[in-house]
This record gives sequence, structure tokens and C-alpha cells, in this order.
Amino acid sequence: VTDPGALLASAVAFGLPGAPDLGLDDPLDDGGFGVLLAAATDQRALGLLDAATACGALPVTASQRDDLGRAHDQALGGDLLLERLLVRTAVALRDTGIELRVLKGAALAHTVYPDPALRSFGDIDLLVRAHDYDHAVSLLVDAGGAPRFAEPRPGFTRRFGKGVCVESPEGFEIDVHCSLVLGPFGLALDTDDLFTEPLHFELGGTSLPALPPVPRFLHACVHAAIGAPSPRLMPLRDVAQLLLTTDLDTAAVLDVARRWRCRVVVQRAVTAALGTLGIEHHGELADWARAYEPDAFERRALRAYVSSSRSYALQAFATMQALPNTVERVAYLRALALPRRDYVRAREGGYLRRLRRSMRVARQWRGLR
Amino acid sequence: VGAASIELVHSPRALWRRTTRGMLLLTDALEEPRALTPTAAALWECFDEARTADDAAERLATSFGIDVARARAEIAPVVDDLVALGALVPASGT
Repeated sequence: VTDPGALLASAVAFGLPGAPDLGLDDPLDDGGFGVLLAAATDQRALGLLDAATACGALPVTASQRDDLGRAHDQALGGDLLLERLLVRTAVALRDTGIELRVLKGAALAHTVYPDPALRSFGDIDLLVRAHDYDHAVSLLVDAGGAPRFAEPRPGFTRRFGKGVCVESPEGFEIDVHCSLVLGPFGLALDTDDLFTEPLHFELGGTSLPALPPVPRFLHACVHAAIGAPSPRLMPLRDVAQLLLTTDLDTAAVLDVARRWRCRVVVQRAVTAALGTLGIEHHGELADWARAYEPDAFERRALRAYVSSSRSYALQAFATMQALPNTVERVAYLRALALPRRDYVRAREGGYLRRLRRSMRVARQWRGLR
Repeated sequence: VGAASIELVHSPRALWRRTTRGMLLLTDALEEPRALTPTAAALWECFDEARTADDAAERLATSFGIDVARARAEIAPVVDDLVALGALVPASGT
């Protein structure tokens, strides 16, 4: 493998059962290694690249090893600063009675990977219950944080949304979630499942709660499959890591995924993780994923996230279909149609531009139906 | 700090990562993570469990094939530094 992109995908699978051989007998030239290093930095995969190099699976020159080590140290330094912020934030929220779960990077690094240095992250993610969401955000704002986005109407996010990114005074991102994903799959899931008995991990002298195994795996699938139009490598590694190195209860995963109406998300995540990372695996869940036929809701909802024709109208339409009743649909439409003045000004420059956009969405919507 | 005969252990509040180049450490006393050399990282690992600095020196002397007295002399300032940073704390206090 000499294409840096393909080489990085193989390196991201490093250490997993069934992972491909990196197939490189000699170091890349410095130009090729520079491309690989930049891609690994972008994908937050420096830990796996460093590990592959350290054990000789990826041959490098001495200067390439130094460049990689420096880049990885920088990423790890960021992880430690984020962990300090995570502990302080979690304790502050918990002290006011807010129940939380640590999501994604920090939690996975400490509960799933054999060494947290393998799993860097770029922000911290905290899940709170919908009824605590506004309070949690206001506490972070009182502590000097700045939300990245305004809500269209008060209470919109806790009712229909996923959460908000709050920038801390130090410039770090704290993502406060009240659901796992925006749109139809986020509304279809049962958030009570996320607050069942947590897994705990110790960090900075504090016991932090993370998602229990089944919701943790489903969240990894959601993040990998629909977190971006094209799956990113480390979320795919998370799925593979959980699939191949933890004692995952397949029946429980599929039962909860059925209730959350997101089996297609599990299918897409598992097949993409194994396919993109080049992992040979024929376990129960992988075999299920190869054969599963998604239902109409799942197909339509998935299109809203990943199709080349995804749009605001498509996601709004798919979201409407996931809402449980007319009252919720009316409230959702009202918030989108009549947002607050400061939201409109910040996002769209004024009500006139908003009106033109709404008419365009309505025309697309008629087309969709 | 007369740490030579006091049992020390990692502070539960310390955050760290082992790296291929040594270790990164962050404590409440530090604004930014501090990089430790591979030798200092090996010393840090000695305190995974409660141990005196003298015990740690003996372990490192064996690992690195050096004289115990020299190991004691070389690690003493590093141990003092780690204690001052709050990274190592008396085992009885954790």
C-alpha cells in the first residue's frame, strides 16, 4: 500500500483482529509521508500511526519518526487539557444536580482502547437529560462559555434538537447534547435508554459516567454512519474497536436499534468500518449487517443525512415524519417558520431573506411529497 | 521534600499519557502539559503503586544496569519536582 490515503485507513485498523498488513517494506518518501501525516492529523489518527511505527509495522526514517512523535505529543497535550476541562465541567454540572454522561472521544479512550494515547479527540461531549439541557447550557455560559449557535425559539433544542457547542473561555469546545444526533434518528431514539446504569471511568481523581455498552455502541454507529456525509476514519475505528474487542450483546444491540428505528445506521456503520478499514471479520453482527434490508422510514431518514441531494428541506421533512404527533409537528414547524429575531439576524441576515428561503423550502417540500 | 523514605504514589488528580518519546503530565500546578523524558517516565511508572524513592531508585538501577547510589542521586531531584507539582503524593494521603 503506497497511496497515503489507503495506507492511513490500514493504519487506523492497526492492532485489531483481522486488520490488514500495512504492506510497506520501506519508508515512504518525505513527500508521501507528509501527506500521510497531514491526513492522520486531520483524522485524529496520530496515535494509531505512532503505535504502528513504534512496533515496526510502518517503516519510517528517523526524521519522519521525529515529525510523527512531535505531532502526536501535540495532540496528546490537547487531550490532557480537554480532560482537565472535562473533569471540572462534569463536577460543576453534577454539583448542581445535573445528571450527565460523557460521550465519544474521552469516554471511548478510557473505556474501550487499551491505551488512551491511541484515541485523541478535539472536544468534550456531555449528554444531559432534556429537562436539564437549558440549565446546563446556562451554567456553562455563566462560567464564561459562548454558545456557537442560537436557538430558533426558546426550548427548541431540548425538544427537537441535538445540542449546542459552547466555547469555553480557554477556547475549547464543549458539546452539550440532549440527544445523539439531529433530525429523524435523533427524535426516534429513546433518551431514557441513554441514562440506564452507566459505565464509570476514573479521570483526575473523579469517577465519570459513560454510556452503557449497548447505547455506547449505537452512538458510535450513529457518529460513524451519519455524523458526516462521508464516514471519518476514527469513528469507524471506534465501531470496529467496540465490535471486535468488547463483549457486545448482538441481540440487545439489534433490539434497541429496532426500537430507535436506526438499524440501517448500524448496518451502514458496521459495513463501512469493516470495508473502509479492510478488516476481515464474519461475526454475528457483521453477517446481519451484510444481509439487512432497511424499512421505508430508515431509507428515507438515512437519505436526509448522507445522500448527495440532502438539504434543509429533506431533513426537515424527515424530521417531521419522526415526530410522534400533530402537536409536536405544529410546534416544530412554527419554530422553523417563526424563529426569534436574533436567530434570524445571526443566521440569515433578516426576515426577508428568511421568508424567501422558507418559500424555497416549501416548494422543495411539495416536490418531496 | 524528604521523599526518600516516604511511600509515594501517583496523585489521582494527575492526568498523563505515555508516549513513544516518554510521557506527558498535567497537574493542577501546571498550565500546560509537561513532557517527561523516557527515564523520567520510567521513574513515574515505578509509582504505579506505593513506593519510596529509594525503592524506585533500586528498581531503576536494576532496569538500566547502573549503580544504586547513582540512581538515587539522579532521581532525587526528579522525585522532588514531581512531588512539588502534585503529581506524586504520599501514599497515606490518597
